[in-house]
Amino acid sequence: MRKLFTILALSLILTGCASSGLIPAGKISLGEGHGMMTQGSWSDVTYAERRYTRAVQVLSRDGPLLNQIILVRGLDAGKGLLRPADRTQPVPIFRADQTGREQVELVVETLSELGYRQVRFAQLRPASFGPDKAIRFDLTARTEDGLNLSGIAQAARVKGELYLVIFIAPSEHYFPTLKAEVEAMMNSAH
Amino acid sequence: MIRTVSALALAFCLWGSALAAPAADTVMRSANLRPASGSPEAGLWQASDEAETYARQSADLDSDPVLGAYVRNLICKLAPEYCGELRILVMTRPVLNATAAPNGYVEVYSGLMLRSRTESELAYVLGHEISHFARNHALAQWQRNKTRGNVTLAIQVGVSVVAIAAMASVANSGDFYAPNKIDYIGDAAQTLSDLAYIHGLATYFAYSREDESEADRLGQIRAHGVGYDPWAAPAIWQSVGAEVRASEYPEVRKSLARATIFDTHPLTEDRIEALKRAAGSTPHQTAEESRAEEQAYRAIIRPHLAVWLRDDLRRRDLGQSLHLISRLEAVGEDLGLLAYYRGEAYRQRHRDGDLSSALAAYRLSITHADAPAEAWRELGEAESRAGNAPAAIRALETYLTRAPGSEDRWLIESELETLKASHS
Ligand SMILES: [Zn+2]
Repeated sequence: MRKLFTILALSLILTGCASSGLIPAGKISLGEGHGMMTQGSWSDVTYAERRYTRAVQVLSRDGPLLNQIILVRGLDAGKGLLRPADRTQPVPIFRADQTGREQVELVVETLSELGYRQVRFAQLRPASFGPDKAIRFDLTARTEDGLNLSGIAQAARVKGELYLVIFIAPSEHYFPTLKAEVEAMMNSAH
Repeated sequence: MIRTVSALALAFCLWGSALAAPAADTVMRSANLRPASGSPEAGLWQASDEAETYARQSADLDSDPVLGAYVRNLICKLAPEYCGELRILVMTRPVLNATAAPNGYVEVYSGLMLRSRTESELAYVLGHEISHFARNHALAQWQRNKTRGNVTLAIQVGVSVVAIAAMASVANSGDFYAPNKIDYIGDAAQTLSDLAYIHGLATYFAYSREDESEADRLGQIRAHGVGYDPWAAPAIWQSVGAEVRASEYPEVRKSLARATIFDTHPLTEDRIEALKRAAGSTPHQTAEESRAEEQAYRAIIRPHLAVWLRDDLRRRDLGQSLHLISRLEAVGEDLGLLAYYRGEAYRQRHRDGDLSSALAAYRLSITHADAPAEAWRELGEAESRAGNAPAAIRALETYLTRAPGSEDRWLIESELETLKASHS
């Protein structure tokens, strides 16, 4: 199904029916009134995971397995980054009264739900999202077949909505190569 | 057909248990059985080899040598005749399962170890799997499928033998990621809806009712033969059934098969009754014996308890998690840790009334010496939500004292400042 969907999505992009898959360097939207500056160009690979909800956009430089940035552009309370597969398999949900730590936990639990294993966070630190406070943290995880991954993420709650930037890539080569560029993107997020 | 099988039935006569020995014509596979390459059976072994390679690189593979040695010793005690050829992998996965592939690689899930009350219960389930292995049930099922033309169906939708093996290991896992993984591994679902596809896989790899009953019986005899309590056999199936019936979700309660070992080992009431009848004349353990066995087993799994419980909460089925925690609490040990995870289960569900249930659980947790430092942090957050600022401040400060190097120190410190500012 996923492959079929991928092929479908790809063909839509190739025929120009869907929104452009290529995102040139410059300003990208993080939801109404919010944005972020990118240095290089990125591809929109949101279609690679069919369970993402509307607020989610996924960018990649070299393909989702090699690097990806999951953007959450103003998630409403009561919603998750993922749609539940069915009623008996609920997904992690953002709630209006979540503490900062619970926002971090939402990122960890969502990545786990996506199939990443041993997802851990470290080095919680203060950051800013425009005039608002944000939390930045490091991530480590493994793929199901044992590849080590590293990441950085940032969470901010503004007017009851959640804004996330989650960068994850293989620890070897891909993460260190893009780390500084992604941190600059996060620093520009507002 | 495999012609190299040899009778090991004689060995059973030496066990001298209250349980009837297997019938003399119950033929067990010979040690180091490997069909000649090119034979029809060789494909199944090759598929098992591929599944093993896949499992060995899995991030779920547990690396604790102590736990690995414990499981290996237990399996060798249950099946000395196969000890040399069985390769045991402990997998950190929050569902009750174990598998023994025809090529001799064995997966034992943390979810099984967490749900076993005693070593006797664990030994019985492992004995059950070893019996499927010893009686070549997977091969019989494979041959039945071939006659029914299911293999043709599988090949038609583009599933290679290797993919079948990988999917078998996933489908057998009862893993909640299974739908995605099967999708990913097989790429075969293109012409079928996911649900029909997964159902088809479960049918494809499920053992027959007869094979299940036989594995129950032989597993119980095997475990009892080396000294384990035969009443543990019906007991673990009963308690796992009770856990599923405690689910949040009516769909799960109705279907025992969902996300448990029963996907591929269908459980029926008559299987439990048969195990009780077989244990028949064997006296039950005394309360002291039972307690001693529970405590000895808890000491084995204690180092992993926190990680396994956290994984269990990822199922997001509060009913089942609370049932499991209650069972673990019945042993009377690890009460601080268990109360903490009870609180976590309520906090994560977050329905009406759950906040006060979580608060009560955290308050109880910190009265026990084994409460994890996080219990004070979550108690602090819960007190803060309940509007008890002084209690929240006390609890969060205790957390920082007890976990001085914690990754979230900065965040808790800033929360404390806010709390103190609003309270003064
Ligand atoms: Zn079975």
